[in-house]
Order: sequence, then C-alpha cells, then structure tokens
Amino acid sequence: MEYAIRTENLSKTYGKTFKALDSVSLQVSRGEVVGYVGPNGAGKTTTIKILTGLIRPTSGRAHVNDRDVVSNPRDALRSMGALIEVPGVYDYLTPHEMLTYFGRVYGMRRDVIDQRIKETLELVRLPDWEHKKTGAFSTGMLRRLAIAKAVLHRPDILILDEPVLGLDPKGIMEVREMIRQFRSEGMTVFLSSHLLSEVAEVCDSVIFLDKGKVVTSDSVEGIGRRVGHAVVDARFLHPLSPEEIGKLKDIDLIKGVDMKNSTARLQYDGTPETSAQILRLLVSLNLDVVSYAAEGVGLEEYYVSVMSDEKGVN
Amino acid sequence: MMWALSDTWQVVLRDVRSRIRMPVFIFMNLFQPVLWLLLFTQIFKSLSGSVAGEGISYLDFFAPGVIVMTVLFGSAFAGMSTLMDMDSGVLSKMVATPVNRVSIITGRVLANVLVGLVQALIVFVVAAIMGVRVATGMPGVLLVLLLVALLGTGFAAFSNGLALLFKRTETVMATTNLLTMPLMFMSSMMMPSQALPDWLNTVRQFNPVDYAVVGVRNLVLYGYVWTDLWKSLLVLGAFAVVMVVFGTLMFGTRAE
Ligand SMILES: Nc1ncnc2c1ncn2[C@@H]1O[C@H](COP(=O)(O)OP(=O)(O)OP(=O)(O)O)[C@@H](O)[C@H]1O
Ligand SMILES: [Mg+2]
Repeated sequence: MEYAIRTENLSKTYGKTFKALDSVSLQVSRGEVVGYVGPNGAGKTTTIKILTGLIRPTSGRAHVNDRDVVSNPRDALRSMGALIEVPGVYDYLTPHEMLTYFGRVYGMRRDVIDQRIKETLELVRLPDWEHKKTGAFSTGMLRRLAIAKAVLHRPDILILDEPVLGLDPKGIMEVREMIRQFRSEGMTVFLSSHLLSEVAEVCDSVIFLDKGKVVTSDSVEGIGRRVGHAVVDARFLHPLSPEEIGKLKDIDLIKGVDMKNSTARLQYDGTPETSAQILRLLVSLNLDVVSYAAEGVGLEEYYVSVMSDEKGVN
Repeated sequence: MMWALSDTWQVVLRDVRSRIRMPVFIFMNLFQPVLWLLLFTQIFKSLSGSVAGEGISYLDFFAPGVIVMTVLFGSAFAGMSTLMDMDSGVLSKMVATPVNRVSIITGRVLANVLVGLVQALIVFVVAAIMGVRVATGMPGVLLVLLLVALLGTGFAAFSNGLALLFKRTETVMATTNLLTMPLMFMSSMMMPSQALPDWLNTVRQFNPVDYAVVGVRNLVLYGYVWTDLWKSLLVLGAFAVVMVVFGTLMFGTRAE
C-alpha cells in the first residue's frame, strides 16, 4: 500500500490514432495533495475518467489503493470519492434524496447515512438545504453538493476534476479551505486544475501533463527550484518609495523585485526558510507589510516554459 | 451475488423516485392509450360482434391491445432518459461508484417496467369502468402483468441499448418512432388474425408485440388458452433476455 494512486503506461486512444493519453505513469503517495495541471485537451479528464471507472484505458494499468480499476472496479472505487466536471444532479431531487442513494450503494447503514448527510452538508456549508430541491441551487452550491457526495462515504482518496471551475472568488476560497481540511484529515487528494495559484496554495506536488504525456512530476518547491526561483507577493500599506524599493533589491535573498502599485513580487530560491527570513527582513526595514503570500511559486513560468506552444485546437 | 441484487434494487428505488417526481410524464404516457381506448371503441363500434365473434364488443377486443400499447409506449422510449442522464452527468456519477454496470442498466430497466405496470393497471381500471371484464379473474390479471412486464423489459432494454449505440437523441427518437407504429399495426392489436392478410399473419409471428397481444387478449376475453400462453411467455421471455444482454453489452462498452 505504498501509493494511493498509481498508473503504469496508461494510454487512451480515440478513433484510430488520436492518443488522448500516451503512456502516462504517475504515482500519488498516501496523504499527499497532488495537482494535475495541463492545457485544454491535455488529457486530465481522460485520466480521471479512467481512475473513476468511467472509461477503459486502451492499454496500461491504473491502480487505486493497489486495486486495479479495470479488473476490480468494485473494490477500487469503494475507498475513493470523485468529483467529475459536470454537475450531474436531478433538479427535482433534494440533497438528502440524492445522497441517500449514494450512501446506499456504498453499503452504508441508513442511520449512518442520515448522520453523514448532516455532517457533510455542514462541511460544505449547505446545512439548511438538505430538503430543498437542487433546481434552485447556484453553480457554487451544486459544486459543494458534489463535494459532499464525494466524501459522504469517508473515502481516503479524493479525485477532483477542476473543482473550482466556474466558481466566484469566494467559492474558490471555500473549496480551497475544504481541500485543506481533507488534507489535515489525512486524505489523499488528486485534483486537476488550470489555476496555478490554486495548485501552489493547496498542493504538495504537481504533475504537468501535455498532449497526453507527463512532462514533469515534482513537489511544488522542487518546481520552484527548477525555475531557479519562486515568487512571493508582499503587499504593503502604501506604495513604496524608490529608496525603499532599492532597499528591497539590496537584500541578498531577494533575486528580483517587480513592483505593481503597493505590491512587490519578490523572487527567491523557493525554500520556506528563505521566505520566512525575507518576511523578517521586510518587517525589520519598518515596511508595513499587509499581506505576504506565496504566489504560484514559479509554477506559471515553469508552465509556460515546458508546455508546447501550440495549445491544441481545444 | 447478493450485492448485485441489492445494488440493482437501489438503482430501481432511485429511478422510481425520480420518476415519481415528474408525474407529468407518467400521465403524458397514459394520455395516448386512454385516448385510443375511448376513440377507437367509438369509431369501430359498428364492428362489434363481427370482429371477434358473437357477443364480443370492439371495446372488449381492443382493450387488451391498448394495455399492451401502454407498456410499449412507456418502454420503447426508455433510452431517452438514459441519454438525458448521460448529457447531464447523472449517469457518470452513478457509474463512478462500486455499483456494477449490469446493476445500473437492469435497475433502470426494471424501474421503467414498474412504472409501465402501474400505467397498465390504470388502463385496466379505465377499461373495467367502460365495461370490460376479465375472463380469468384476478390470476388472469397477474398473468397479463407478467406478459407485459416481459415485453416492457425487452423494449426498455432494447431502447437503452439503442441509445448507447447512437448516443444522439434525434436518432433514437426517429428510430423508435419508425419501429413502434409498424410493430403495433403488424400485429393483431386492432384486427383479429382472421381479418388480416396472409403476409401480415406471417410477419406478426416475428413480432414480440403480437405475442403479448395474443396472450393478454386470450386471458381477458376467452380464458386460459395454454398453448398460446406458453408460447407467448416463452417468446417474450427470450425477447427480454436477449434485449437485456444487448443493453448490458452496449452499456458495458459504450457508456463513456
Ligand atoms: N469521447 C471522445 N472522443 C474523442 N476524443 C475525445 C473524447 N474525449 C476526449 N477526447 C479528446 O481527448 C483529448 C483529451 O481530453 P480531456 O478532456 O482529457 O482534456 P483535459 O485535459 O481534461 O482538458 P480541459 O482542460 O479542457 O478539461 C482532447 O483532445 C479531447 O478532444
Ligand atoms: Mg477536463
């Protein structure tokens, strides 16, 4: 039981020749939060559909909890919760009715289901909507309901396809909080996303996929080191004066400064230690730091540098 | 094996519940058969006595056909809801669980049949109010339900298979429309076999709808005609099994 998710040379061909996935081998360790990143049409959803038993690979293997998802889907899917792009609810059913079905098919007892429905709806902030028809739900509410569905049976692996797609900033923050909470509970999370800042914020490591092939797989910090630097955004109470900017540039640990209004994007080597030290130095320079957040950790630059130029027809 | 049954049952429950939430559809499906029952029996009233023998009104003769028609209409379009669920992602959510695909498809088909049986019973009641009596009584009614359940299973599974094969609402709609009408007319649903041309009597031997019509009509009008009844049960049973296999195969390979 070394890896929660493991694929070996996974390939999926559509039509005669189009390879949506081309020999993808990836590993996700237990308890890890992994971002699955790539341009439109890279094959992220295809991978997730294979992992969740929706489609079969043309060749290769996929294991979830060491169970082969093709030959043993029942066991493989049991300990996994999934959120797949589309909403997929009947608008005339209530969350309670919908979740009851899923609880039953995961073999949960009725009283356990009722209790878990309460808990999960609480978790996704829909406690008052248990018996309301989902037809009136907003995109954000439907997404949160889908997340409640995914964790209802207490899976130890969670697979999320674009969990924040189409959500407003508040919705994005809420989902991010949930993912953090799942991680703190020891859950393994595999999520695909286009939002690199999102991935940098919540993920331990990243797998870059392009044209059906894995380009890189590394920890978020490791990617920062590959780019040679990572970035952190420091926002100040007032725009900095030229001398103040000069002082920033004089700090050895800071490799580059990029000012925009009152925010400075600082490049550094990507280690948490350096980041902490920089913050201490900023404060000691008597600069009023309003916020200090790792932004993208160089992911964007890395992304641009490794992804092929033509982004496909999608 | 127990879990497969319990999974199927959960799918049935879920499907029936979602159908009950849309009672409009259940009644919309009933509208046509009931209309036929009311209208045709008026139009062909003058044929009473001459069509199916002494003392048998056209209503008596036609009511069994309408019961079969109700289940046929209700099941022949079953694949449409599967396509809708595919488009909306409801189906993906169901497939991405430990429930196996066979349970999902059979559960959906069974739910469809259950609703069809309720509709058939409603038509039965309407016919009874109009004066139709069942020669074989309560046991006969149960056998009628068994016959139409087999027919409904076959067509619901066939429609699901078709839906997964074509994956386009328009195509499935057109194919189904193209099939159901001829299947009804190329049977003894509206006219007794004696009144049909020879070629039609040959063709109807290959038409599952006709086996249901003959079986149901015997039970309602005449009593237990065992040779016909066995033949109907056998043919419809085989039809149901073959179609469930077809639907399951399609679902296993093409529900992506
Ligand atoms: N059923 C299908 N038939 C044919 N081609 C398909 C099918 N499903 C996906 N594809 C193709 O496979 C490729 C990978 O698609 P996939 O949905 O996995 O990409 P993705 O990485 O999820 O992209 P996005 O970021 O846009 O969601 C795309 O080029 C897509 O057009
Ligand atoms: Mg996708």
